Order: sequence, then C-alpha cells, then structure tokens
Amino acid sequence: MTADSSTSVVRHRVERLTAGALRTCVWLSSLLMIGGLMWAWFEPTHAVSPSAHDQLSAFLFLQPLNALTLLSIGTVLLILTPFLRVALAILGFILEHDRTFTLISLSVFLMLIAELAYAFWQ
Amino acid sequence: MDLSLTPVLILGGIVTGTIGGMLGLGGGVFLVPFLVIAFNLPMHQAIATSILAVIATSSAGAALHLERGLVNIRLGMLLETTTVAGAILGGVTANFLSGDTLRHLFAVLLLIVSGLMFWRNRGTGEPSVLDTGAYVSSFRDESSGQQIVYGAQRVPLLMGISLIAGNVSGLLGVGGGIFKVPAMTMLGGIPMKASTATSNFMIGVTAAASAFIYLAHGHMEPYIVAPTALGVLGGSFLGIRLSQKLRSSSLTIIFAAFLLLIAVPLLLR
Repeated sequence: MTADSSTSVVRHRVERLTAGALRTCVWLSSLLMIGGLMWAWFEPTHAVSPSAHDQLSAFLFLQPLNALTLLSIGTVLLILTPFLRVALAILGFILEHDRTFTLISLSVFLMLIAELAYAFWQ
Repeated sequence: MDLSLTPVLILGGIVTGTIGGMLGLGGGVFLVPFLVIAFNLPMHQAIATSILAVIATSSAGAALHLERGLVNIRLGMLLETTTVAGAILGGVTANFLSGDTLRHLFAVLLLIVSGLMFWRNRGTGEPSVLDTGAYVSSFRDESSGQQIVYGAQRVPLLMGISLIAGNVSGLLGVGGGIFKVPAMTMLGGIPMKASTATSNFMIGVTAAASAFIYLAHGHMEPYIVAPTALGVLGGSFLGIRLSQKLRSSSLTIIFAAFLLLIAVPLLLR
C-alpha cells in the first residue's frame, strides 16, 4: 500500500467515524429534548426558566432528574457536537501525520474552548 | 413559559426549516423573524434559538455530506480559523447591543440576503473548475458519474469573506452559508456540491462559537429552543426532499420577495 492510499484510507475512516458521531449526538440530543418536553407537558410544575448555571450543572448530572434536566442535557450536548466535529478532525490529521492541519484544527478547537471559558467566566 | 406554545413552536420550526431546506439556506433567516413577529420574542432569544437550530441542521447535514465524501475538511478547517474568530466577536458584540439595534441589523441582513437570492437566481452557471490551486480534493459526482477533481483559488479572499460570514452568524444567528457558498463557488472555483457540503460542515462549528455566550447570558430558554430546534431539524429534511422534486428558481423568487416583506415590519417595529 502506498503512502497516498494509506492516507486516503485513514481519511475515509475518520470521515465515517465523524459522520457516525455527529448522527449519534443529534439523535441523542433530539431524544433527550423530546423526552424533556413530554415530561414537562405532563408535569408542568417543572416549566420554569432555568439559569445558564442550572443548565450547565444539569449537563454535568449535578441536578435531580426532571424535564428541565433532560432539556438542558439535550441542549448542551447539541452545542458540544461541533466541538466533537473539530476534535475528530484533529484526530484525523494526527493519524495522517499532517502537522500543519493538526495545528490549524487545534487553533479552531482552542478558540471554541476560549469562547466557552469567556462565556462562563463573566 | 407557557407550554401550550410548544406545538406552535414545533410547527413554526418545521415550516421555517422546510423553506430553508428547499432553498439550501438553513432556517435562520426565516426563523428569527418568525419568532420575533409571531411570538414577540426578544431579539437575543430569537437569535440564540436560531443558533441551536443551525447547529442541529448542520450536524445532521454534515454527517450525510461526510459519508458521501463531499466535504473538503482541510479547506473547511482553514476557513474556520477566521469564521470562528468572527463568530466569537459577533456573539460578544451582540450582547452589548440592544434588541432594537439587532432587529434593525437583521432587517438589513434580510435585504442583502434577498438581493443575493435574486442575483443567484439569474442562472449565471457554475464557473469552470480547475484541478490546480490549494487544498486539491475530489469527489464522485453521482449525477454525472464522473470523478471531479478541484483546487481552491483565492484562499486569502475566502478567509476574509468567512470572517464576515462568521461575524454575521454570531451577531444575528444565521448560518452564514448564503455568503460562504457563493464565495467558494464564484471566487474559489469550488464545485457547488463541495461548496455546499463544506459550508454545511463549517456552519455548525461557527454557530457553536457563539452558542455558549448566548447560553451564559440566559438567552437560551430550553422550553423555546428545544421544540423549535426539533421542528427546524425535521423541516430541513422535508425541505431537502421537496427541493429535489420542485423547481427551485420560481421558489427562490417567491421567498426572496417574502424576505423583503419581512424586512419592512422588522425595520418599523
């Protein structure tokens, strides 16, 4: 197997892995949001607006399980899905031994992390 | 939050997602005015809701495009460096601006998008594709059965346009594909299918770059964002299916005119 075809195989595998991971995250977050909405529909006492801190702590399983917890986990999981997309791109470039694009993707990932830190530091 | 609005939000999401899917725009340009005009939602909340919907549709769409080998990940990641920076700047700026200012900016955006839709509909055709340039990639075109090899031209210019697209995305909650796809196709010499797929891959990352800023400011109300995002997600699949059966040129004209009509009440409110 030549270096080019080996790189192509790696790229194809990482693309399929990324596609599967994205689809799984979208399905999972959709199911969580549907579950949360149905729970809230039947138990409307939970239908109060949460703070951002509540939503994040719900994602970290620091809140008791209720409709809001499911909705918050679904929302935060969906927002984190593109982070995973970039992380898997970094993995792909590492496996392809492409230092330039590993660094470029890493810089995108670090900007996303910086945004997350800025948002909750305020 | 009145939960009786949930079915209406889902339905509204389906309608705006379907229109967006049919026109290849994503739902943002239709969703934000819908939430503001129909539900009297504050601009910041409408934008935050749209951002989550953009992430949902982009992630689902990107999965499909990746499996078909249409995404140019190298080009996407390079353009993402400026797009993400623009989006973070947009997200931060938006939270310093009043709802009225954002609404007026959104109305101006609708006028620009409407103009771009009319322009794109003139049918100027795809520019010639060169197999030289930066980040050469290839894909198999299922309609012609040919292997298309292409390289990106004018990459620094594309990075500049991506910065603007990212900024608009973070500021106003739209995907930014309306700017990126024509730029990649007309200026970058990238085939339309690869441009659309690469833009779609990027859009979710761009939206995520400002999503946590809106979440931290409390603009992401779960009982609004969840049903709307679910509706838009379902609607976008429906829209993509419908777009394969309907003639898009007349639809584009109708919705471009519709966007002009929406811009007026947004400016006057």
